[in-house]
Amino acid sequence: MFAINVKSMFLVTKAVLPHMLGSGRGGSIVCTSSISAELATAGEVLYDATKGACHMFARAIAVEFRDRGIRCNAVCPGFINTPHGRSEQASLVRLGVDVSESGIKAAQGRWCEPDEVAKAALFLLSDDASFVSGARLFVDNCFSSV
Amino acid sequence: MGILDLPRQAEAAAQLVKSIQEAGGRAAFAAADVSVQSEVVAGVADLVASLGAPTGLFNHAGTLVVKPFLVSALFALGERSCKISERTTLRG
Repeated sequence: MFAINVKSMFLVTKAVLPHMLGSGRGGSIVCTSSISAELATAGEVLYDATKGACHMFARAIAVEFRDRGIRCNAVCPGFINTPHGRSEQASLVRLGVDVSESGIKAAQGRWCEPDEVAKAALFLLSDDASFVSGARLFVDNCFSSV
Repeated sequence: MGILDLPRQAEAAAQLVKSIQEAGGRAAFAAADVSVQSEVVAGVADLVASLGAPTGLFNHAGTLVVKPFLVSALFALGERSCKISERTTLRG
C-alpha cells in the first residue's frame, strides 16, 4: 500500500518537477490525501499511515520549492460515493466500525460526490489558489471539524 | 492533459483523451505503473514530448485495505486486489 499511496507520489513528483522548474512557468501539485491522515479508523492502520505520509509529503514539497514558483497542497476527502467508498464502508461495517448510513450522515451529513473532490483539486491546481501552498483542504463537510 | 495509468486502463484513458480533444483540449495517455520508477520516468518523458512541460500535477494513485492490524501486511502483493486507481494526471 505504501508503494501505491506514497512511493508513487515521490516518483511522479520527482520526474515532473524538473520540467516545471525548467519551463520557467512554475507549477502546482495536488496530492490526494484523506481525512484518514488525521482521523484514525480501526482496521485502517496501514491506510491511515500512508495518508499521514501524503500530508507531510505535500507540505515538505511546498516548503522546499516555495521560492521556485512551485505550490503543493493536499486534498483530503471524507467518504466518497464511489464503488471504492461503498466497498470501504462495507468492509468497516463487517469489522464492527460504525460507518452505517446513519453513522456517515452524523459524521459528514451525506456522502461526498466525486465531482466535489475534483472541483477542490482543480481549485488548488488553478491560479485562483496562487497564494495557497502547504495547505490541507478537507472536503468532508465538517467530518474533521467536530 | 497527460494521463499516467496502468496499461489495463488504456481503453478508458483513450476515451478520456478523445473527449478532451473533441472539446478543444490537448491530451495524451502513457501507460505506467506509477510505483515503478523506470515506468514513471519513461511515461513522463513521453507525455512531455507530446504536450510540453506540465504546469500542474495531480497525484491521485491510491488503494485501501481494511484489515485488523495484527493480520495486515505492510508490503503484501495481495493488497493490490483492492487497488482503486493508479492514475496520475499532468496538466500542460
